[in-house]
Order: sequence, then C-alpha cells, then structure tokens
Amino acid sequence: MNTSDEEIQKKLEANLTVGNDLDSIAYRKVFNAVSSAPTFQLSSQFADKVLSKIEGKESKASSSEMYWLAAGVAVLFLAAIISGLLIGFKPSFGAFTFWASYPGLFAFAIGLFILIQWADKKILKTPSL
Amino acid sequence: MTEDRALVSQVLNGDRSAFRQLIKQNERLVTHMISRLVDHREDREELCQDVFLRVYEKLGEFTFQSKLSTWIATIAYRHGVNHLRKKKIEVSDVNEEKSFSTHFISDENIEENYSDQEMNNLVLKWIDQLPIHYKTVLTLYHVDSMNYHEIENITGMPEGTVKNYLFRARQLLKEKVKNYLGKEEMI
Repeated sequence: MNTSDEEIQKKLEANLTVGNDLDSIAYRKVFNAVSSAPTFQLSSQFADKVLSKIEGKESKASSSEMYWLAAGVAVLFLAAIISGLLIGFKPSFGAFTFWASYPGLFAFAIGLFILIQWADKKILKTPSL
Repeated sequence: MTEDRALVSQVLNGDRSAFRQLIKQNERLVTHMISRLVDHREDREELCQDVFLRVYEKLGEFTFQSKLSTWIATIAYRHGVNHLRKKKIEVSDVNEEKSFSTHFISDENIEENYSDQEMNNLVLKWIDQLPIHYKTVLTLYHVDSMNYHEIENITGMPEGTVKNYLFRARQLLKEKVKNYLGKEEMI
C-alpha cells in the first residue's frame, strides 16, 4: 500500500484534517461522495408486493399438496382393485352380517349415536355468557 | 439482537405484519446491495423481492450467529452475484487489475467545471464502473456502515482482502478525481 495514500485515507476516516495537496483534495471529494446512497428507490408498495408473492406461493403449495393427496388416494384405490382382481378377492361383510338378524338393535344404535351427538352439540358445548 | 429474536419469532409464528416490519427495516440495505451490483434498473426491484422471498423461506434456518441485517445482506449479495453469473457478467474481474486501473484512470472527455454536487454524482458514476467486489465493499463500508468483520461474513472475502479492496477502490477513485482536477486546473 502507498504510505501517503494510506495516511490520508486513515485521517479522513478519523475525520481529521488533511493537507491541501492535490491527493488530499481528491481524497476529500471521494470521501464526500462514497457515503451517498445509490439513487435507486423501491416502489412504495414494495412490502405489499413481497407479501402478496408469499401468499401466492403458499396457496400454490397448498393446492399442490391437495393434488398429491388426491393422486395418492386414487393410486391406492386403483392398487386395491387390481390386487383384488389378481387374487380373485370376494368381498364379505363377515361379522357385520350379525346385524341383519337384529334390525331393531341396529336402528337403536344409530338413533342413540345421533342423540348423543345432538346432546353434545346443543347442551354440553353451548357457550356460557 | 434481542429485537432480532423477537421479530424472527413473530414472523415464524405467521405474523405477516412482523414480516412487513422486517422488510421495512432492511429494504434500504438490500436496495443498496442490489443496485450496486446490478446495472439494469428493470431487474433491481424484482431481485429485491426475490431476496425477501428467500429470507422468508430460510428464516427458520437463521441461527443468530450474526445480526439479522448481516444475514439478509449475505442473501442479497449472493442473489445479486448469482444473477450476474446467470447473465454471464464477469464477477471476479479484480484479477486483471492492472489493465483495469489503466483503463479506469485514463482521461475522459470532461469539459465543464463541476459543482460539489455534480462532482459527487460523477464519483458515484465512477463507482458504478469499478469491479463488483470493489463497489460492494465500498457500499457496505461507507453507505451501510458495516465493519470489516461484517463485510467478511457477507461477501466471504478474508478481512485482509476487504481492507485491500477498500483501499484500492478509494485510491482508484482518487486517481480519477485527481486526473479531472489536474485537467480543470489547466483549463
């Protein structure tokens, strides 16, 4: 590094006075100018634009997640159907055929379930003022 | 640093107004960095938006090893440099310094006497012509008041290189101004 240049730069950084030779004058002009910010300015709605881009990206990501979920479910069903066809699977209700002998009991169970749900919604979860 | 932590935590909890505040606090720094690196005005705002999108995506990875502003400036610097590389603009052009210096300092057709303000504008124009690393260091040090260590973190250049680039950039500008002043004296 050039000693003279280094000295002048150090003095100007420390806000000390420098001489009146051409180097010092030129450095003073440089130091005056370098602290000026670039003139380019962002638009006044810059933050809004960034936030709307983020929202757009997030909604796109969430719809792509839904797409992959739907595709996964469809592939699963397709695989189940193909597997069933390949192994000759015959659907059977098994233990559930028991209900066929007791239709009244089945209807009572359904009714009780609906009653409990109604009571839960109307009585237990009513907000108190 | 505590304020940084509170702000980051709010943003990570989905508070959009906190992110708006983060943008407001750092948009000047990002603008300075991008506008020094990228000449095309049309690209600048788009790039600044991309920087903040990246900040939003990566905020969960911020470890508070540095100030939030330093971390954001690092993202802005890398984003700007990547943009230049994509556009095939030379980034590491300090290697051919000698030929650059000769070309940079050489006479320009200056025929008028300039006021202080006009001289400032002239110097700012010359800054834009400096190699990318020189003008980055100059801007971070003089405009954004960053110290050598922070500039080292942002640019990845060793502290000695940062000091050297800062010295050389100011020296080159001085030679350019001196060249002009000498000419003015002769007129």
